[in-house]
Amino acid sequence: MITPAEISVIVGYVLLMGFLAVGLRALHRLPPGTDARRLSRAAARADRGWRRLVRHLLATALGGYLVLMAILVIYYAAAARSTAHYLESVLKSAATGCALLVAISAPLFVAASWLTDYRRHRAGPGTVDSPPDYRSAGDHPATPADPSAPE
Amino acid sequence: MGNHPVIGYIVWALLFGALFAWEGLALSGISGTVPTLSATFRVIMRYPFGRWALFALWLWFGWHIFIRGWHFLLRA
Repeated sequence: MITPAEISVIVGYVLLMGFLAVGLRALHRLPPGTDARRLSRAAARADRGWRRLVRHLLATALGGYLVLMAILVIYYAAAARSTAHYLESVLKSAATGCALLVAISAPLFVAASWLTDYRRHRAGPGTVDSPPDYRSAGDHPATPADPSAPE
Repeated sequence: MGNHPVIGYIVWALLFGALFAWEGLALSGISGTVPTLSATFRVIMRYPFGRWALFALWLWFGWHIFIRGWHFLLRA
């Protein structure tokens, strides 16, 4: 007999593996030599602008919030067959708690984005404070050139 | 260790060890074909539903850690 806790683990595992499988499949569909980081940077360049960033952030936060609420309602109401009182308390905690997390994290994310943008503009290209350059493959930061080396 | 058998902790340690080993293999570039976890998530996040799902996962984790398990410091 499978318990509700085991069901939740199985469902969570299947969902996670499903997302990873979709991601890997999409990654392998890219042409050889294509770097996903460059693709995402190109998408970010095309999607530049504070208004778009805020819209993007709000869409992601609202979408993720609603997805989580839907999963929790389905799980606690259907899979776990919780009592009405427990269901109410859990959903209230989830709704208010997750809203609090979003309310804290979203302004912090906007502030961090502004600070990064400000520092980048202030430092200018090719300076120490400018964002690091990355190699075309992998996640390793590029090795900085030896300043003592002759030009 | 409470009432849990030691083998349970060992299995968790092995699972996390395998995760870090796989990520290390991807980062080392020895294989050349193993994508890093961040590269995989980056591909997932290209799609709106992928972003929603990952944000929902992050929210769920934060809810469990900071909201459901929250206790005021120094509370008796």
